[in-house]
Amino acid sequence: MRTKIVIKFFQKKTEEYFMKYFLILFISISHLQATTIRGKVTAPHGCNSKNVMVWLSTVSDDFVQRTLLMQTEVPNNGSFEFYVKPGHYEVRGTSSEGCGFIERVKVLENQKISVKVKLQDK
Amino acid sequence: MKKLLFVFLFIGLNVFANPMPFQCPPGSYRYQVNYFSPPQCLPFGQAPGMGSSFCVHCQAEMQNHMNFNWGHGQSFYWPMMAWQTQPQMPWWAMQGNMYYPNMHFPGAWQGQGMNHQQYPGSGPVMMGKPNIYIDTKEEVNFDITFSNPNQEFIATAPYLDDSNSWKVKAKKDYFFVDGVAYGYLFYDARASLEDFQFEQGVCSTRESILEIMQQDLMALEHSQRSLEDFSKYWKIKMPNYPYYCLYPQYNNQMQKAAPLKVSLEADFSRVLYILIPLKSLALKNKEIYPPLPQKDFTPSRPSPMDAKIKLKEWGVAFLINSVIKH
Repeated sequence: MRTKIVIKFFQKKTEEYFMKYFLILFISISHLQATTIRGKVTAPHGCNSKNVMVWLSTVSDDFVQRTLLMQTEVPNNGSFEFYVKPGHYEVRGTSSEGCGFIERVKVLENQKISVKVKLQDK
Repeated sequence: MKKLLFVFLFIGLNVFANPMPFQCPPGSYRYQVNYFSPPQCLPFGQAPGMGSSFCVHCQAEMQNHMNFNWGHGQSFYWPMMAWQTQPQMPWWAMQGNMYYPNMHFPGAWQGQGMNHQQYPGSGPVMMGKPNIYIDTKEEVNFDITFSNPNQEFIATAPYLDDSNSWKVKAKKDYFFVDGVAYGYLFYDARASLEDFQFEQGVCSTRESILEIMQQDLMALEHSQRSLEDFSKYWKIKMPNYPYYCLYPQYNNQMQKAAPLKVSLEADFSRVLYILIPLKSLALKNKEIYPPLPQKDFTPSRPSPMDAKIKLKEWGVAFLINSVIKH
C-alpha cells in the first residue's frame, strides 16, 4: 500500500514537472516568431519606377497625433519588412511624381501580414 | 640637396598627417569646432562659447535655438518644416512633412532619445538605417547572413529569408535580389549597450558633427553615392539639437552588435555613429551617461584594403531616452 502511494506521488510530481517545462518550451517557441508587416512595391509607369518611399506610422486622422515609426526606400518590384508590436498601423507609399498608396492594417501577436504597396497615379 | 629634400618631405608629411592619438585628461571632454580645426579639451561643465574665444559661432547656434520647442510630448514634435532651412530637401522629405509631425526625427522620439515603447525588442541602442553598399569588379553570387539568431530587427529591405540571409547577385555597385536591383541593402535593429564603446569620440555642433561623419566616411573610401545618400538622409533625420556627442563604432563593435557573415572573401568595412543630442554642453549633472568622449576615435578607424569585392556599411544610432542621463 505504502509503495503504491509513493509510486503515485512520484508519478504526479513527474507529470507536474513535465507539464511545467513543456509549457515553458511551448511559450518560448511561440515567441520566436516575430510580428511583422511584409510587403512588395509596384509602381506603374509614370510613377517614378526607380524608388518608392514606404512609410510606417501609427494610425490617426489627426496629423499631430500621428507618429512616423520607420521608413525605407524600395525599388520598383522590391520588398521590405517592418517588425512591429501588435497593433494598428498605416502603411503609405509615395513616389517623386506624387503617386501614392495608403492602407491601414491590424497586426496580431506573432502574425506576419502581407501588404501589396501598389502605387496609384495621382 | 637630397638631405634637404628628405627633411622637407619628413616635416611636410608629419604636419599634414593624422594627429597622434589624443586623450583629454580626467575631468574634461573632447570638443571640436569642425573637422578641420584641432580638437580641444574643455573642462566638464564648460560649454563652448563660455569664456572660450575660439567658438563664436557656437554662441550663434545657441541663440538660434533659444525658442526651440523640444517636443517632449509624444504627440507634438518640433522642428516642423518651418524650422528647416535647407533650400533643396529631397522629394520624400517634402512629402513626409505633410503627413508626419516627427518627420525630422529618426523615429518615435521622447526627450533626448528614441521612444522605445513603440518598437519591438529590448536593446537600448537603436541602429537607424544601416545601409550596405557594394563595389565589385566581377559579377558574383553570395549570401549575407545575420549570424545572431536573436537579432532584434526593426526593418529590412529587401526582406530576409528564413535563415536571416540575403541571397544576392552583385554587379558593379548594385545588389540583385530576386531579379530586382537594390542600390544598398538596408536594416534597422536594436542592440545592447555593452557591445559599444563610449570613450572615443567627439562633441560639436550639429552641423560640424554631420561634417565630421561625412569626412570619416570619405576616409573609409565610401562611394560618391553612399556619401550622398548619407548626407541627404541624415541632414533631414538628425533632430535639430544645437550639439551632439558622436561615438563612432567600427568593425570590432559591429561584429558583436550585429554580426554579419559574408559567404565569400570581401573587404567589409562597417561603421555606426552613435549620437547623443544635447541642448547644452554645460552639463551640471555629475553622473552622466554615456560619458562625454575623451579619446580620439581616428586611430580605431580601419584602413581600407584593396580587394576585388568591397562592402561598405554606414549607420547612425540613437539611444532610448531612459538610459541617457545628462
